[in-house]
Amino acid sequence: MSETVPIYGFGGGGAALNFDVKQYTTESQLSAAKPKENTIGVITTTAITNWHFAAEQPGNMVNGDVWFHTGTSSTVAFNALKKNNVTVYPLGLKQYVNGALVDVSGKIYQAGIWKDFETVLYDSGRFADGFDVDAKSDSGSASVTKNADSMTWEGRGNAWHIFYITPKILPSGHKTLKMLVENASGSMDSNSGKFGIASSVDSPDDVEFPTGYQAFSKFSGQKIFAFDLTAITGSTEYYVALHFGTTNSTFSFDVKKIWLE
Amino acid sequence: MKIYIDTEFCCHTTNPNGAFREVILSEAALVFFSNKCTAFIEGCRLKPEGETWIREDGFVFSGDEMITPWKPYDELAAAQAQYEADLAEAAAAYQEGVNSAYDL
Repeated sequence: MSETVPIYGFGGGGAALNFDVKQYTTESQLSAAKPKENTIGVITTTAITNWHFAAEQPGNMVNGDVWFHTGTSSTVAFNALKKNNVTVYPLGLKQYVNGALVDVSGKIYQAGIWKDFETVLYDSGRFADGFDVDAKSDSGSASVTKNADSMTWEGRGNAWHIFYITPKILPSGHKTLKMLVENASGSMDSNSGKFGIASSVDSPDDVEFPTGYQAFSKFSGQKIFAFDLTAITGSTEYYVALHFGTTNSTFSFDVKKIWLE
Repeated sequence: MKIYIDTEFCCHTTNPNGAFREVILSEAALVFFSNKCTAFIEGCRLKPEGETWIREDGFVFSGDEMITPWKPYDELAAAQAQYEADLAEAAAAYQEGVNSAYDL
């Protein structure tokens, strides 16, 4: 996968560029628009002055500038140039307004529809390039079975279990961490389940979720675990992790998708 | 430890005007907030189990309990680090005083 490089500019849609950046003042205005392919619509009442595509916050932003946070994987990746190839992997966006970066909504128009920016770590049997899963248990067993279109996570015994995605991710710039799960079976310790971002996964009986967590318990049917990331700032990376305990029991479920919006 | 939440589930450690409601902390929440300084606690949002928080962009968080920062986490981490450093300094000073007393 190509590395992303910072791209800075204004306007878009020129002779060389394969995308455009447009301001819309409301969600409905954006939804009604049918612009050309790879038009990025930014919903804001502050005029857009310039735009920056970069993995980290640019240092020289002025009022109205939009920062498109980029990574190495995106469901809305696009080639920024008409003739050559510079692939951009947008993950999210913020705008510099009155001296501070603020969250603004935006979407990209591709294949005739408006799409949200998201980073998919795992989807229906496939990990994004470079990503994988690991599992540990302190005094029982924790296992991952990779199926054709999902993976089954199982914790067994009288133990704590931790399941985590490798490598760590940088949550800053994303709004929500999500995991789609289904087919829960068995029993887990009540009030023991946590989903979120962990700083350390070395000790299954002492996993730290320093920024908080989304609790979970045994569920039925299909469910989406969601953890708010909007205030997770800084350059610290974390493991996407899920933690629960079992007492002389087995608890398992299927994971269908893990992603960040 | 008493934690109060407001209508946006933001945490408060005092309730001077009675505008907030006290939360009965789950075991997990008790562990999470234990040994945390006021600045850290009050920079967090606690959505109790069974309640719903609608984020500014319209995304709905419902169901099980969620704890997440609402202030930039960098600030909370820095406040907590300073708090722990102050505690360590105070403990060291206390121990030094104790040691001095035994030396007399």
